[in-house]
Amino acid sequence: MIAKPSFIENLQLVWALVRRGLNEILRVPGASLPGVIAPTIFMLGTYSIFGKLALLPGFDTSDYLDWILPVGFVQAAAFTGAATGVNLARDIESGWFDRMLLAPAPRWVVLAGLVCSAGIRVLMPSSLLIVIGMSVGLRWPGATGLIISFVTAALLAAVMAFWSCGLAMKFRSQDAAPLMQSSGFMLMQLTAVYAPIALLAPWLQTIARVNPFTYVLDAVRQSYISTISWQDTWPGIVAMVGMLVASAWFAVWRIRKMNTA
Amino acid sequence: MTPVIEVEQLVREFKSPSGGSMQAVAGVDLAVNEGEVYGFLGPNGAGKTTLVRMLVTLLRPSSGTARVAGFDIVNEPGSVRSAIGVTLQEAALDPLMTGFELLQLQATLHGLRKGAASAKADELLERVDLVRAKDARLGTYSGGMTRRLDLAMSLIHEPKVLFLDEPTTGLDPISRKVLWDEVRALNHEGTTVFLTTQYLEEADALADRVGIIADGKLVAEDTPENLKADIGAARLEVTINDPASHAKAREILGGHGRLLKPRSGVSFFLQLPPGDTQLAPYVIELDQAGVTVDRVDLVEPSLDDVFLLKTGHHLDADAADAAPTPVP
Amino acid sequence: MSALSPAYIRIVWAIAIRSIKRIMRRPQSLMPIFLVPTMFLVVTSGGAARAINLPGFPEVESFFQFAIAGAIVQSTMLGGLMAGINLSVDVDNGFFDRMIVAPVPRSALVLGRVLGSAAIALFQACLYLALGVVFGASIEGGIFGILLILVLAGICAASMGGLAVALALRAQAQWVQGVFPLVFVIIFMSSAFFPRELLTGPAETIAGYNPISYLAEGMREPIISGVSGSVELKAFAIGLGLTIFTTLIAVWALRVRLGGSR
Repeated sequence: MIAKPSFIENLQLVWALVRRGLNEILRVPGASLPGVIAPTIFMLGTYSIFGKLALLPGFDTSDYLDWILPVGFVQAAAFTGAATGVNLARDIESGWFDRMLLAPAPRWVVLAGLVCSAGIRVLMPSSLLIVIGMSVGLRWPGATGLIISFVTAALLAAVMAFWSCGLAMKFRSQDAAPLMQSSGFMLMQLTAVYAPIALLAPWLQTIARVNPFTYVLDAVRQSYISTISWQDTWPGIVAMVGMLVASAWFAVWRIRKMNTA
Repeated sequence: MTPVIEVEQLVREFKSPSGGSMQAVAGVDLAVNEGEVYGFLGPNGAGKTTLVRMLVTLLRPSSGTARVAGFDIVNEPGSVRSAIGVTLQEAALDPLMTGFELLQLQATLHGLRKGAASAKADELLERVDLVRAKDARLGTYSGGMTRRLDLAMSLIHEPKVLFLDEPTTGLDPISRKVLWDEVRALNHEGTTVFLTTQYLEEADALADRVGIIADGKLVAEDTPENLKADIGAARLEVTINDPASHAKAREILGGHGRLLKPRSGVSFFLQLPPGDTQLAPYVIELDQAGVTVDRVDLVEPSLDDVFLLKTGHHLDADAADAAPTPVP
Repeated sequence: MSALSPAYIRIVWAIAIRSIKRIMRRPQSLMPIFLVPTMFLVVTSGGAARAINLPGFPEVESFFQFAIAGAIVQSTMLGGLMAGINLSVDVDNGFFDRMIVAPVPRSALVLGRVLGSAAIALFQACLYLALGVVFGASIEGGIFGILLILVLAGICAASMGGLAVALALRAQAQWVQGVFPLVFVIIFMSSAFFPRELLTGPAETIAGYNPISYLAEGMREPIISGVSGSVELKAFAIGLGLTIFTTLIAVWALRVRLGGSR
């Protein structure tokens, strides 16, 4: 009989599961391509269409590219998190996930493996976004700004992965994919995506003010359109921590209920 | 002998599509002793997989209790998981990973350290004859290779009890034989095996004891030999091509016992009295009456006969074609 | 069988009806083609509401009124794409081969699909126009304007349908699915969501050469300012040309697929 695994051994297991999650990218590069390029395409498309909005009085920046690019990090996180949930739903359907549940490893280790791989995967679309952004004239956000952007993307991907995996464990079917994809997309869109909050239609202002994504997006955006200030940062931290706790709780609750179907 | 698996009044209900609830497993009691191979036999939908999923902690019972390797499946699931190896019906393996990587991951899942994991993976690859395919991705494996790897994965932590849910469903006869031999070898080394199957030959070939499940209930349980002895008698299969002789033979043999409906037009069965396994007297009698017999066989009772007796229907459609039904 | 004989028309009709029925029987398959454009319509109406104050922006009631035509374009293009996806499913499961062996003119197989997606587009356009009216946008062009929009919506779906059918006949199913993002790129590089004069970056140049721009403008004018004639006529001519072009590609793709046999 094998002894109860130590914390270090559990971390090794998390890493083994992350490695497996990264196979999706490393071994079938074609399949992950849409998810990698989508935020960049959306960024360029939105910039092309709505670029002149920056001329409106009340805009904090003169170049719309600086305004819209940070949205790409949020979008990349939403996409990657949803993809993690869809993949889990596929693994549940195929029976692969039963194998994970049959292991004596603690449940949090299995969840951590899924969520950490989302946090790492999101670095790919994020990097592409910043490289293409710089090549079309993005203002350099500074090293701190860049670190904030990547850390936010990784954590938000974890939030969306917790949420989507929770949904996957509830519905046990890839039919739930649209729910996972659209929930992140809607949360992202119902913020000050296209224009500062004061310039939004009144109904959208109301929603954006209660949407935690708004504060996370603001925290990322500050280094692109002005300078980093504590005042623009702490609401983002609060929102992020709140979402992490809530989504992790949801996922843990669902994995505990996996055997009651 | 100590029971390794003890099941008491285990029940699992599901909501049925019509709104009510139906019992997939409706109060099963059973005990499997250490070192035994227990065959759990039943048709599709009888509740085999539901029972296994409960015993391996993937599904919580609606009521009743069960202990596996001495641990309660509801209250000590972690300990149960450490003690058992499982291959589930659909051998879902990640097609993007290689056989070696899958074994390594499984080893890590069971808490083996890296060096030990690799050594164990190599040893098991050897055992299931997959050394040459160890670095190929699962997507390139055949059905038989996948099942063998699946079996190897379930052995990585040297479990006391091995659960095999329909391990050979869909396999070709040769792959099936290979898997059977491996199960026998494992059992010989002391592993207790709980095996579900819808194949009679499989239960007959592997199991020390067989439980028959139908509609969520255990309808019979004993050694294959005893179960067959319950049915008792063997049958005589007589094949005669000539129609006149055929009719005459039926008339003569009908005096000795019940005739059973022919499998094909030219053969029929005679149900022999219990204990009677002599075929010569019948052949001689037919010969003396001038009947030319093309072929005579003594057919031992099969588990399908047991199944038919206990549940009123055949195990599966194939068996129904092959096995006789009483002449009306 | 000549292209206008009653038998030919009957076959085209049957194929069109089947492709419509098939979509209507799985309403959930319509989700993406309605949901995505509707979400875009909602969030851009809220997010770019003040765009109408930009110098050079056409006279409109609201950005919402302006954006309805863009939603119709997006939805009908995705609808046309679905014709291709459904065809590739038919090709995969062998149903298409069964139609091929029937004594049916090859071009009728393609035309039926294309017309089927055009018919669904009428339904899509009506839905977005109704949505517009419900949320307070007026349709300045009146009944005549609405009829023009319906015609252009049908043409828009048919042009995309031809392209998608061609792809389905020449490529594997996942490629046809892969065109989904491409539809967004085509729309982003057009004036479907914003006035052509106010676009920036690559779209500023490309939109003028993008036929989708003209289709979108042709559907937008009857909504925001009434029918002038020239914009709609241009949209009609360009759209019809595009449809004929993509349908011919689809017929060619079918010929190649059948190895030149007729």
